[in-house]
Amino acid sequence: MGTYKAYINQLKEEGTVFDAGKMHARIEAGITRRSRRTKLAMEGMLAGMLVGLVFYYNFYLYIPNSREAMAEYVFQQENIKDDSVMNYVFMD
Amino acid sequence: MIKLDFQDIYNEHKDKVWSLTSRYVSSQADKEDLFQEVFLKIHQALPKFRGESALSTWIYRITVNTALNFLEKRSRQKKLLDLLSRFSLHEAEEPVEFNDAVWKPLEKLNPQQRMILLLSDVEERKLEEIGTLLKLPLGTVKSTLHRAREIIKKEVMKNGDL
Repeated sequence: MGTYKAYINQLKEEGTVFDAGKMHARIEAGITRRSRRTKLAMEGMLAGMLVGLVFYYNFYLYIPNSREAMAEYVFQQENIKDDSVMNYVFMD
Repeated sequence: MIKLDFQDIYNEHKDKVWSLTSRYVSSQADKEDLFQEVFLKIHQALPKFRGESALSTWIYRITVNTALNFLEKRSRQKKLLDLLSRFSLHEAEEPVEFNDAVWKPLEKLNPQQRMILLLSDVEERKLEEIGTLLKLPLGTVKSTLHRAREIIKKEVMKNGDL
C-alpha cells in the first residue's frame, strides 16, 4: 500500500506546469476557427439550397426533361386522373 | 435565462480543468489539446446551460466526458498510424519523453479505469459524485476503482522505481 500511496503522490505532483497565456491564446484561436467554420457551413448550405432551387425550377418544373416528369406534366396539362394509364406510358 | 461570461468561467475554472486533464494524458501536446478541447466544448455549450446543476459540476462533467472521448479517439488514431507505419505509409512517431515511472502504469488502464482512479485517488472526489459524473452505478465505480488499483499496484511493484 505504501508503494501505491507513493505512486499517487507522484502522480499528484505530475502535470502542474500550466502556461495560462499560451492556453488562453489557443482557446481564442479555436473559438475563432470554429465560428468561421460554422459561418462557412451556413453560407455553403444557403448557396447549396439556392443552386438546388434553381436546378429544381429549371430542370424539373420549367423544362420537364425526364420521362416521368414529362409524363406527369402532360397528365397535368391534359387533366388525366387515372393512374393506371401510367402503366402504358412506362411500358417498354 | 442565466447570463454567463466565458472569460470569467475560464479564469475561475482553468486550474481545476488543467489539474484533471494534465494528469489524464501523458504528453504535453495531448494535455494542451485536451485542455483546449474542453474549453471549446464549454464555449459551444454555454448558451444551452440552464443552471439545473451547479456550474462547477457542469464544467466537470464536460471535462470528464471530453477526456474519455479524447483518449478513445487517440487510441483509435494510434492503431491506425501503427497499421500505416507497418506498410510504410506513415513514419513511426518518435516516442514522446515523459516520466515513465508515473505514466507507464497509467497506460495499462482503460480510459474509464484511469478516469475513476484519478477522480477518486488524485482529485479526491467522493465515489457517489464520480458515479453521477460518469453516469455509472456506485457498485460499478467501486469495482472499477478496485480493479484499477490492483493493476497499478502490480505495475508499480513490477517497475519497482518508487
